[in-house]
Amino acid sequence: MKSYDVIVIGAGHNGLIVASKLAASGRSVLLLEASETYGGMARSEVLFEGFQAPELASNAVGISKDVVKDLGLNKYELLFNEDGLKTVGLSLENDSIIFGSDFGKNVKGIREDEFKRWKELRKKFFNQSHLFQKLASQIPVGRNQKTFGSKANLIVTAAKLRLQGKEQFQELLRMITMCTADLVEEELETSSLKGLISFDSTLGIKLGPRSPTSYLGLLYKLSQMKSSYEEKSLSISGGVTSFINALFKSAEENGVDFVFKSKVSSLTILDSVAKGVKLENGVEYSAKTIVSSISPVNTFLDLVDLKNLETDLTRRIKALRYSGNTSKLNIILEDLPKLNGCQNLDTNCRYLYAPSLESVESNFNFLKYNQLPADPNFEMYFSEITSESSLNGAVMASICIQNTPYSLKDDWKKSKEVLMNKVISTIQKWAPEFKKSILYKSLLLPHETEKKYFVAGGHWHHNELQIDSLYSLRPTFDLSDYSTPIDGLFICGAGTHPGGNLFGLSGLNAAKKILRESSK
Amino acid sequence: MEKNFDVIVIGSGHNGLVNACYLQKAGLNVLVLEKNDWIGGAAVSRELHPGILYSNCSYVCSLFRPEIMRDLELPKHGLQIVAIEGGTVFTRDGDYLASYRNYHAKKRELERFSVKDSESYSRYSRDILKQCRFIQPLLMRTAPDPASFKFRDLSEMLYLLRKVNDLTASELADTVRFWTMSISDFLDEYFENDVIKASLAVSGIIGTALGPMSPGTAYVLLHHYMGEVDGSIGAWGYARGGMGAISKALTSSFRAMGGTLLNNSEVDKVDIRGARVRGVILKNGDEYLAKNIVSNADVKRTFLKLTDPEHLPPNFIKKVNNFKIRGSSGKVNIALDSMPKFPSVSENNPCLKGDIHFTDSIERMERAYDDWKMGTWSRDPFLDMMIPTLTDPTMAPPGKHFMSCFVQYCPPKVGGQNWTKENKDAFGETVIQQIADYSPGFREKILHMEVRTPKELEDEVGLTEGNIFQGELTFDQLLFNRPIPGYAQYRSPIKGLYMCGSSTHPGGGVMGAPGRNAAVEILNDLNLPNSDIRDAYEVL
Amino acid sequence: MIKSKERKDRDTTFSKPLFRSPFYDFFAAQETEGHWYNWNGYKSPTILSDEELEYFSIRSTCSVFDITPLNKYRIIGPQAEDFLNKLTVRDVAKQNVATVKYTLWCDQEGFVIDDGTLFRISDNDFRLCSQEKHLPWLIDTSCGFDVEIIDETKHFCGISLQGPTSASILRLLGVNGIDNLKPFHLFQTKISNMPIMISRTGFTGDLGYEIFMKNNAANEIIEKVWAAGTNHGLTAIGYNALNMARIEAGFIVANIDFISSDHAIRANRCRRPEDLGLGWLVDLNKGFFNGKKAIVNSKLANGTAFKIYALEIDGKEPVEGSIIYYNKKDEVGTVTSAIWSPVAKKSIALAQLELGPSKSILENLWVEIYALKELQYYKLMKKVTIVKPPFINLARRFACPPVNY
Repeated sequence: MKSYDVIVIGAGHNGLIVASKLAASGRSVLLLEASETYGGMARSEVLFEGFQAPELASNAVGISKDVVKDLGLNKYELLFNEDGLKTVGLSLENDSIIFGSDFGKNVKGIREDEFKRWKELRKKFFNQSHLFQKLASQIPVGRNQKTFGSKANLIVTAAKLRLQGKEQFQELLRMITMCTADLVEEELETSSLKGLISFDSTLGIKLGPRSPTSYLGLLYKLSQMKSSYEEKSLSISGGVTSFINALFKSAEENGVDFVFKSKVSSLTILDSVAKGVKLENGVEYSAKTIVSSISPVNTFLDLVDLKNLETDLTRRIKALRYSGNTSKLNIILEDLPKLNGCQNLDTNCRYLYAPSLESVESNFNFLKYNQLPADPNFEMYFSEITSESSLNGAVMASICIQNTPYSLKDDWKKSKEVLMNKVISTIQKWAPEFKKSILYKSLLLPHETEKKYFVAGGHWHHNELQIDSLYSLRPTFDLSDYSTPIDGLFICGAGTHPGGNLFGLSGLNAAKKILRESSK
Repeated sequence: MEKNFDVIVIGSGHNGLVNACYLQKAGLNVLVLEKNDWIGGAAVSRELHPGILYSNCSYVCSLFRPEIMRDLELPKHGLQIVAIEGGTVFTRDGDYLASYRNYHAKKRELERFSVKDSESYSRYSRDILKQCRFIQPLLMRTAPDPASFKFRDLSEMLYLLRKVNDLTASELADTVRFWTMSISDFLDEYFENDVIKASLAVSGIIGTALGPMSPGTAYVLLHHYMGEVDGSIGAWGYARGGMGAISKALTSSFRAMGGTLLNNSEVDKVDIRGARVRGVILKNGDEYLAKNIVSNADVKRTFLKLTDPEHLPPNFIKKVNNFKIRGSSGKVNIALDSMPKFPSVSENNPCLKGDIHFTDSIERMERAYDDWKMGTWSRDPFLDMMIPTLTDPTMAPPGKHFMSCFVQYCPPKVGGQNWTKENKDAFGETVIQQIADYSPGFREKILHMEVRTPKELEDEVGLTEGNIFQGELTFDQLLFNRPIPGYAQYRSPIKGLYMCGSSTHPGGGVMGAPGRNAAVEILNDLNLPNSDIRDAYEVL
Repeated sequence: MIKSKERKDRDTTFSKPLFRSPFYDFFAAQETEGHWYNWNGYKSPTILSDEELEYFSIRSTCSVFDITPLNKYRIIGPQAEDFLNKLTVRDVAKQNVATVKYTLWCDQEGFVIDDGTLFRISDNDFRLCSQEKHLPWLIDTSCGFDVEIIDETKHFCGISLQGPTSASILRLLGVNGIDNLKPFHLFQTKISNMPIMISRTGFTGDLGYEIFMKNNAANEIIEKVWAAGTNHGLTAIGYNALNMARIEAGFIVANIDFISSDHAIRANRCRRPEDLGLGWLVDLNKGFFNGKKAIVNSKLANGTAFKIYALEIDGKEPVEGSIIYYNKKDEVGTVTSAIWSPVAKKSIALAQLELGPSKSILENLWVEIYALKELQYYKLMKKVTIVKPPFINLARRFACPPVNY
C-alpha cells in the first residue's frame, strides 16, 4: 500500500489549492479525483463535436487575492476581464439598463435622481460587505478552540465597526438580516434595477428577494468582488480554465501526485483516526492527513462509515440543506446574435433576465414547491469559440437558470425540454435571430450535476449559503474550523467557510489550519 | 374640567393603559385619551350582536406579563384568565390532530400520526424552552443601544454579553441558528409528519407578514411560546368576558388610583413648542397640557400623523417611513345560533375549546403567504379559529356562541387598491367556505358576521396597515432596532414625547411589557423612583 | 365537503390518556389506597395496600411488580452488535448470548442520555430496556447499519418477581432451569404453554427474576404466578416499595438521580458516566462509540464536576432533597434519593456533590435536615459519611443455585 503525508480527495479548485499549498510545505501529497480530469465543477468537458469548455462555471466573480498571492498564480497567465464586467439587465417593456462594472459604479438607462440614490445605497452595500471580507480569510471559531480569545476577537471586531461611525454601525445592525426587497424598495424605483439586485442576491441560494436575510447573499457576493484579485473577475472566455490550469500547474510543480479516475469509496478509520482511503477499484492508500474537498454530505454520509460518527453529527449532516437550485444551459450558436433594436451583443458582458423584483420572487415561489419556474430568470454570457474544433468561429452562450428545483413534482423527462424552451423563447424576444442560429444545446439539471460531478444535491455551494450556515455554522458548528471529529480528516470544500464560487479561500484557510495543526 | 396634567397617554390600548397605571401609581397626574367610544384599543369585547360579546381584535391571552398583573392588581380589578384545554388541526382526509393540555394525551395524539415524531416532541420542547429561557429576561428590560457609549448602555450590553457568555459554545451556535432559521427548516430537523409540522408551525407565522419558509420565523415561534417558561401556570388562556376584560381591569385599576380617562377624544396633533411637547390638540379643538406625552399609537402614526414633520429631523422621518409595518391578517367574527358540528370530532372532545386550524401542511401555509405577497388575500387561507364561549359562558346566551377567526394572509390593500365592499365580501366568503368544508350546516348557524380586513383594523383601532404587532417582528426590527435604531428606548427626538406601543421593544402581543418599560424610562427622566415597578421574575 | 374518517381509538387519547398495562386489572384488584402515578404514560400504582408491608415482601418473601411501562426496544439484524457498540459504552462483543448487561449511552459530549439493561437473546437479536423513550435516537444512530429497531413497549409486557422466595415460586410453576440460571442470565421457556423470557435481574439488589411475555399471555401467567405464590408470601407492590429497595441497592434512576442529557435544559446539569460512578462500564478499548472522544478528553482534564456519591447519615431522619455542606457552611451538593433503610437500620442517601480530590473535604461533610414534627421543623446538621454502594449486600442475590426458601 502506498503511503503519503497527505491525501486530498477531489481535484476541484479547493482541492487543488490545498494540495499545492501542502505540497509546497514539503509534504508528499496525493490528489485523488473521481473523474478523468481536474477542475471539479469548473472542469472542462467535451461539450459538442470535440469542443471543450467548462460546462458549469462560465465566469467567476473572482478569485481571492490571497490565493493568487499565496500560490504565486501570477506566473501562470491568468485570464482576467481587464475592462471589468458590465451587466445588461434586459427588460421587455422598457429599455435595458446597463450596469457598469464594479457592481454598477455607473448605470445607464435610469434617471439621474435614481442614480444618485443608487450611488448612496451602493456605498452602503460596499461598506457593509467589508465585514464579510474580513471574516472570509479567518478560520472560524470552532468547537475545538478555547472560546475566550475568539469571543474577544468578535467583540473587538464589533467595536472597530462601531468606531467607523454611529450611523453606519446602526445601519449595519439593521440591514444585515433584512431582505433585499425591502432595502431596494426603500430607495429605488426602477424595476429592472431592482430585479437585477434581487437576482444577484439570490442566485444559487434558496431564497427570494422577499425572504429575510436575502440581503446577505448580496453582501457575500460584493465581499468576494472586493477581495478578489485586483478586484477583477475572470475573463468569460477561457478565464475559468486558465485559473484551473494555473492551480493544476502549481500543484504539479509543487510535486503533487495525481491519480484520476479513482473514486474514493471509503475512508479507513481506526478508532476515530483517519488512516487512509480505499478506492472503488480496490486500491488503497494510506496517509496521516486526509483532506476532503468534496461536499460535507458526501464526505460524511458516503465515505465515512457511520460507525465512526457521533449520532449528533449524523443528525446535523442529514439536516443540511443541499438540494441544488440552479441549472446550466449551454448553447452553441452560429453567430453572435443581435439585440433587437439595440447594440450588438457583447462577449464581455453579462446579460441578465430579471425584469423585476416580482419576477424573481414569483419564480422562487415555484422552487419552494418543486415546480418549474413560470418565467425563469437567468444570466447569460457569450464567448466566441476559437479552439481548433469544427466549431471554430461559432459562439457559445452559457446560461445559468435560477430557481430550478432538484426534484420535480412532475417528471423531469418532459419538463426538461419545457424549461429549455422557456428560456430560449425569452431570449428570442429580444434577439429574434437567436433560435435560428442554434446549433447545439444542452441543459444540465441539479440532479444531473449531482451524478456527473459527484456533488450531493448538485448544489453549487455544496450546501445552502444562508445566514444559519455561515462562518462558525458552516457546514455545522462541529466542523466549522475545517477539522473533524475524526483525527487526521479535514474538510476544505465549498461547504466550509467561506465557500462560494471559485473564491478559493475555503481551500486556503483549510491548508493553513492543517499546516498549523499537523506535523509532517 | 381640568386641562393640566403631568402626563398624557394617547390611546387606551393595553400598553397605553399599563403605562398610564404605572405612571399614575408613581404619583403623577395622568390623562388617557381614546378616540373611540370604547376603551381598550385591540383588546376589547364589544356587543356587536345583541347579547353576544365579541373579542373582535385580539382573542387570546398568552403573553401578558404576570409581574404587571401583580403590580397593577388586575385580579382584584376583575381579571380572570381561564386556561385553554386544547386545540386541533383538521386534515383534508377527514381526520384531525388534536393537541391537549394533558402531556400524555398530547403525545398519544401525536403517536397516531408518527411514533417517532411523538418522541421527538420532547427534544423539540426542550430546545424551545432553552431559547425561551434565554430571551425571556430581555422582555422586561430596556434594550441597550449598542452604538452608544453611555454608561447605562454599556452596562446593559455587558449584561447581554454575560448572558451570551453563560451559554456553552454549542448552545450559542444553536441559538444563533434558531434565531435565523425558518420555522419550516427548524421543524424538519425534528419531525417527519407534515400535519404535525403544520400544527407546530402556526406559532411561527401568526401576526407576521412572513411564510413558514421565511428565515427568522423560528424566532417568532418563541414570541408565542414565551408564556410557558418554567411552567408558569395559566399562561395561555381566555380572558373571562373576552379580551376587553383585560382593558376593563386595567381601566378599573387606573381609575382606582385616580387617573383620568376620556373616550371619544381623538388627538389631532401633539403640540410642540421649541423642541419640547406642550400638550395635545384634539380633533374637536380641545387642548390638554402636559410636559410629557406618551403615544400608544404605532411609530408611523405617532410621527407621521400626530407630529408635525417640522419638529423632526428628516433622517428620522425617513427611518420611520422605512419601518416595516405590514398588515397580514384579517378577522372574521361570527355570532352563532348554536354550536357548529364537526363530524370528525366527537362531541365531548376538549380540542374544540382551543384553537382550531384547517391548514394541514406547511406548503398550504406557504402558498397562502404567496397570495399575500402578490397583493391579494389567500385563496386557501390559514385560519386560527376559536370559540371562547365554550369555555366562557358570560359572552353569549346559553346555546349561542361567539366564534373568532383570525385569518392569514390578508393584505392592507388589494392589488394596490383600497378594499372594496365586493372584495371584503369575497374575503369573508373564502373564510366561511373553508369552515363549512369541515362543518356541514355551518352557514345556517350564522346569526351575524363581522369581516375585518387590515383596513378596518387601521380605521377603527388605528393600527397602521392593520399590523397587529405594530411592526414586523423581524430581526432588523427587534431589540435595539425596534422601532428605530438609536430610538429604541421609548424616547423620541422631541423632548417629553415617548412611545409605549407594540412598535417598541419587545413588540406585539397582549404582553404589556412595552407600556411598563416605557414607564420605567419616563420615571427615570423625571427623577422619580420606580420602585413600584417590579423587575421581571427571575428565571432560574 | 370533507368526509369524516372512520373513528378508531382516537377518543381514548383524551378521555383516558394513560395506558393500562395488561396486568392493570390484576393490580387494580389488589389496590386499596388509590395511589396511582403516571409511569411513562401508563397508569401505575405507587402504593397498593401498605408501603411497609410491600417493602418487606421484597426483602423477606416475594414481591410482584408490573414492569410493562419500561421501554422495550427490539434490535434485530446482522449488524445489531455493531450498532449497539456504537450506541452504548460497553463492549457488546463481550456479551454472551442469553445474558443481560446493565449499560448506558451518551451523546457526543459524553453526557449520559440514559441507562438500561441489554438482553442478548441471540447473536443478532437484542432487547434494550430503558426508563426513558429513545426511538428517534435509536433510529438516527442506526443510520448506516443493517439493523431493524422495533418499539415493543406496547406489545410485550413484564412482571418482576423479587425477593428470597422468588426462585421457589418459579420452581413451583414448573419452570425448569431456574437452578442453573446465574445472575444476569436469561432463558426462554414456557409457563402453561405460553412462551416467556425469564432473566435473573431486577432493581432491588435481592434475589429476583423478570419475566417478559406477549400481551395476550399476561392474564393467564399472572394468575398462575399468583396462585403459586400464595404460600410464599407473594405480595403485589407499587413503586414506593421498589424505590426503597433500589436505593438500598444503590441503583440510580434517570431524571431522579441525574438529568438525562436528552432532557437537560441547563447545560451544566449533564453528567458523564464517571460522574455517576459508572465509569467502570465504559470500555475505551473497543472501537468508536457515541461520546468516546469526549469521555477520553474529560479524563485528561481533572475537573471538580458533580459526581454521585452514596452517603450514610447520622441519626434516623430521612434526608430527601437536603443540601450537603462542607465544613457546615459551603454548599457542595444536593441529595437526590434518600430513605431510612429498614434493613440496614440507618439513614442512607444518594447525592450529587461537587468535591475536589482533597481527602479532608470528604471527612467534613454535613447535611442540613429540616425534620417536620407536628407543624414544626427541627433544623439539624448531621454528619455525612461517604460509603461505597450498595448499602446492603445480600449473599442470596448471587447464590447459584438460589436457596429454596
